[in-house]
Amino acid sequence: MRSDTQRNRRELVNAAGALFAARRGPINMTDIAKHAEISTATAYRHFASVEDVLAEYRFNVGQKLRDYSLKQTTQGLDLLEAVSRKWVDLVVKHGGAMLYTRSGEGYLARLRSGAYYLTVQAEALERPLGEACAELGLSPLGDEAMFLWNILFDPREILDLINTVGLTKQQTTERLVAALRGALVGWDQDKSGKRKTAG
Amino acid sequence: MATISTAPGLRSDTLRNRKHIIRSAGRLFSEGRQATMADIARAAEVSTATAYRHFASVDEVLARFRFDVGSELLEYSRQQQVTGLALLRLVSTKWVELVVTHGRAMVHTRSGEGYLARLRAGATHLTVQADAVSPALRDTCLELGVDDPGDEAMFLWNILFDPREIFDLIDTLGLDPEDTARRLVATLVAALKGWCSPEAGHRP
Repeated sequence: MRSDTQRNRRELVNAAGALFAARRGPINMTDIAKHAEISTATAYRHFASVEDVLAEYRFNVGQKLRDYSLKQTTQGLDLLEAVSRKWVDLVVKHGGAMLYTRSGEGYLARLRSGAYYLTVQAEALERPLGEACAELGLSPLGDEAMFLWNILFDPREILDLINTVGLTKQQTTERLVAALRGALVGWDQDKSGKRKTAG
Repeated sequence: MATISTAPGLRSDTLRNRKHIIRSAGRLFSEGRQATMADIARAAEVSTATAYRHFASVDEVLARFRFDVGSELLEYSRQQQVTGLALLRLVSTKWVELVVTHGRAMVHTRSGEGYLARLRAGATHLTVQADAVSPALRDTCLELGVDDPGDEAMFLWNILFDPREIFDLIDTLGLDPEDTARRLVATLVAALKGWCSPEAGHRP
């Protein structure tokens, strides 16, 4: 890709992030193109829809989380808490651009069909969740653990806890990690209880 | 949101039309279709103009539909003789059944606003659902010996029992509705304990 083409693409993604962070309400491709100082036609050569621009924006944020996660030397629940805290920071920093119009499809259905911005996030959480389950003495829950992390750490819910309940980022992280930890145990107990009665 | 169907003095055919519109919308969306107001009106055997006299948009019809489903849950909840965790199990299982029965009509395009922000602003289909579940949650907290976190307990229930996630567990993991309800209640109870635990830095 030519460097000005790459630059345009980056500008569009940044512009979308800035616009969605700044205001609620409908934002169209023309708004994004104008903010990026390129033509709408050029914008559409890069992205088919505003959703696609936002997906790339979220992918980039997901990459930051993955890079952070891969650099950590801690393990298990400590690692899970560190990566979750980083995610809360990223959500607060990027705000509105992280709140997307949601798909009617479930998280696991989207993850298993390879939605690219979900897979990078899942990579960031793979070791933390796997090790946390092991530390808690649970069976490996695979993407079911990711399912639980995802619904608890949904950007909309994080911002709800901060803005509506008035929790700090630190409190939000601690509370959600504690809830997740319980949720993993509860999930596993029911799952293995069922296996026992079935077997 | 208007609640004309409970308002006195409305003519009975107006009420009947309104009921038909709500039911038709629920049926069409349950079947997985993306219906327009004209489709809903046709299915309800009223004119599109009449449909628009009752509701400003398809979203509004669906919101009313979900309110009615929430009312059914509330009524069910009030009829039960048990309390606490036993009640929580029954009401949650009933909810999963209702979600499965009404299918895609229960999966809403979500608002960017958080659940608690919307609940505290008094979004009606959320308040009726909260009325159905809150007493069971409050008593469950008592049974568990944890401090009642108020609507934060409802916040946890809501994210775990979101229709979209229920369908995900049924369709993607292949759980049946009964297993789904039991799994989610077990998860919720443990999550609630975690949420209220000292490690969570909960205010005393």
